[in-house]
Amino acid sequence: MTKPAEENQPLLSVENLRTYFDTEAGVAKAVDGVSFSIPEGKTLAVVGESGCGKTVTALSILQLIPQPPARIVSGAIRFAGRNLLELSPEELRKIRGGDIAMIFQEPGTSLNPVFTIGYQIEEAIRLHRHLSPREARAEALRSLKAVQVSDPERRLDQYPHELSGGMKQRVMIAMALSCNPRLLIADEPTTAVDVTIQARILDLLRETQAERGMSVLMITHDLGVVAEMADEVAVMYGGKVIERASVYDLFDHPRHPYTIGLFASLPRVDDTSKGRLATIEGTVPPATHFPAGCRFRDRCPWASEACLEEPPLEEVSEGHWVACWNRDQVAQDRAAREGATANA
Amino acid sequence: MTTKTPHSTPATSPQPAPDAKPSQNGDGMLLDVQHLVKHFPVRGGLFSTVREWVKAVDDVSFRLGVGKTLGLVGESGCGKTTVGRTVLRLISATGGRVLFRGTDVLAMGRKELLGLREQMQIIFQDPYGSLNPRMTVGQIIGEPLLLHTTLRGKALRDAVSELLEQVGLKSYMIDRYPHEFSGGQRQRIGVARAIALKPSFIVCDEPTSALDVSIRAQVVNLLQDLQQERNLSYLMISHDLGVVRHISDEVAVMYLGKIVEQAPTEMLYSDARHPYTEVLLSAIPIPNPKLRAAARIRTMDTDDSVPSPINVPPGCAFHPRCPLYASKGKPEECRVTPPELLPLKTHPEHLVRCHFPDEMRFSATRHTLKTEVAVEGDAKGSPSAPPSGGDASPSNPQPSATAPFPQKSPKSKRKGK
Repeated sequence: MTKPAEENQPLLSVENLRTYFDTEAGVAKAVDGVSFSIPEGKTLAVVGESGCGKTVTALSILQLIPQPPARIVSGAIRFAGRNLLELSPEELRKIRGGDIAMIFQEPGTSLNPVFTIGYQIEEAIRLHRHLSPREARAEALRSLKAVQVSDPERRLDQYPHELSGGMKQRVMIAMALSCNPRLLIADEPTTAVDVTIQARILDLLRETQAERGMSVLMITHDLGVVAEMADEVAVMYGGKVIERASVYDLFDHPRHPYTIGLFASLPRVDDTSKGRLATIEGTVPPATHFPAGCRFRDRCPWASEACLEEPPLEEVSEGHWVACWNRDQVAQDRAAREGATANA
Repeated sequence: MTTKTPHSTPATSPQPAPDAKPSQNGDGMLLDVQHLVKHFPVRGGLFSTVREWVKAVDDVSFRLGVGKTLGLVGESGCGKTTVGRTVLRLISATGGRVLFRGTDVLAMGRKELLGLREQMQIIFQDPYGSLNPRMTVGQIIGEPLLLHTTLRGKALRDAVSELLEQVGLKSYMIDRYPHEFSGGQRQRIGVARAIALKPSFIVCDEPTSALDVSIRAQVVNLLQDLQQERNLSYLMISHDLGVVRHISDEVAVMYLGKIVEQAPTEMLYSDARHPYTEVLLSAIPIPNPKLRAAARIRTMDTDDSVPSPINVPPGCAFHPRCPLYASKGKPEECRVTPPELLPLKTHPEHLVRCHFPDEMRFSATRHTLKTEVAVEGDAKGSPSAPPSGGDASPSNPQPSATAPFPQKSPKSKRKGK
């Protein structure tokens, strides 16, 4: 219902996805009506704090969440024309690791410690591409080379514990790319590694994407990573997309109070001011106890009577969608403040 | 034990810079760490014999003034956390001296040390692991008061309530358990516990790393407020160069157990001289999409495996990853002679451990530019004219033919291995 005006058919479109968890504390509406789409060859970053539902969204796409306790209550996930939620487990298995691949935050725990790197990459290749063992091996070697792992022949016979964290993440990427996916889902791919290694892995992802023209869904909490990687950004809060825009538009003109607050609270490495950081008061409410209406209203400086009702995600300028009743006031105040600082 | 009397007047800096004037000059040194060394044994084999030594901290010296913050940055395994713990004597040092108001902490007896605990505190990274889940908040914050003061009963409870209010929590929360609090609130409890005894020095060990962005700012502000109110000194250990820049007066960068660069904050960020500092700064994704094309400096690693402090490379420990070393045609001295931490001629307060401290002049192009115009110019590849960092140090004529170090041009970069 909130499909952006896109010329070409998007590769992936998630429509009104709802994933709930049945917990002792009640129903946790971890993902509650999320919609977005990714065109061929583009990168969408889903950004938000812990508990906002970004990882559950990613896992729901490939239905990698245990059901129960999770339930995908409603929605459609259209990938290349097919609704993934309607596929049989068999068909879904073909897509996982095939057309859609995923890399995870913890490369250490995503690799099986008792098999060699080579075996694990070859397994994926043989499953999806029906190659002979020898061909699969050659293919695995090629994929390791493609992610610039040093000494790839030797790595094939090594076990995960023999590799550093950065290298394991490269192996994960090699594995993910070995079957030429059309969509790569990267869930916080660099959170567990140091910045210098992160920089190189992001470089690698960007290069690979440029070469192969695949689409990327990047899940992250790091606005720096978003700025480096994304074409489009969806900001999530409390299980909902509260703002969606092109990366330039979003960073230049954030419209939702939460997005504005996020940007303001960043201690930036390129910032020389020593003043107090702006903060967002309060904390993210637990998914079982979201306030009715706008879920950000408890923490929002602009909250008003209207916010007791849930704001819809509406397009405010081309390709820029915001879910806020007071967005005009917010924009006005923000412009006034920017003007004030510019004059000062 | 008043906080403001300087016991040791700032003399000359001990080892690296005989003529370096500490930036905290004037209000006295609180902490003076000299040649701190911590080696951990690696045991193995049948009789658990010592096989190797991890040189976690290898000859680290720095000084910290009253009411000042020193940022200590570096990647995992560089020894920054070990420095913090050794300074507090939470772990014993292998060598060196830690002068706190002129007294050597490492030589103190048990009694003296107990008294010192009131003065030096620590805030831990993990607000989940550092609070005892079986104790109420009142007990957690009250424990140091119980041990070190005569406050009991209602007086103790009142003191704890006041501390709670000071860190932005509510006094009615005093009987709750840690699990009832969010990550940011827990970190506030950790802060309240640390300031309970009115210390003059706090080691902040990655205090914001486990927190979400919107919560991080709250904790940073709290730390800054407390510093102003109480004239606290912080040793701010972090890998988050944004937070460090915001809060620190001076920053030291560590690599494999050694400080490789140390300077007043703005000087370090605008005019970094050590290639490792450059690499670190340029690796951080800047939250501005217009900067994504700006030139970067990357390490020369071929496989993302960083040397460990067990097998520190000879010569300059950074040389196998160093872009400057590579672009200079692998000079022998980098491989053979370990460089010393020396002051720059132009800026004696700026210490660099590199044989070529005048050749890494790039940070200005990426980290101080705020205008889009300049950045776009940069993106199109004109790194040859970095805006000078404000000083007129002679630019070296040597590597003029090509850019002084590899550009962010991924293809060519990695083929060079």
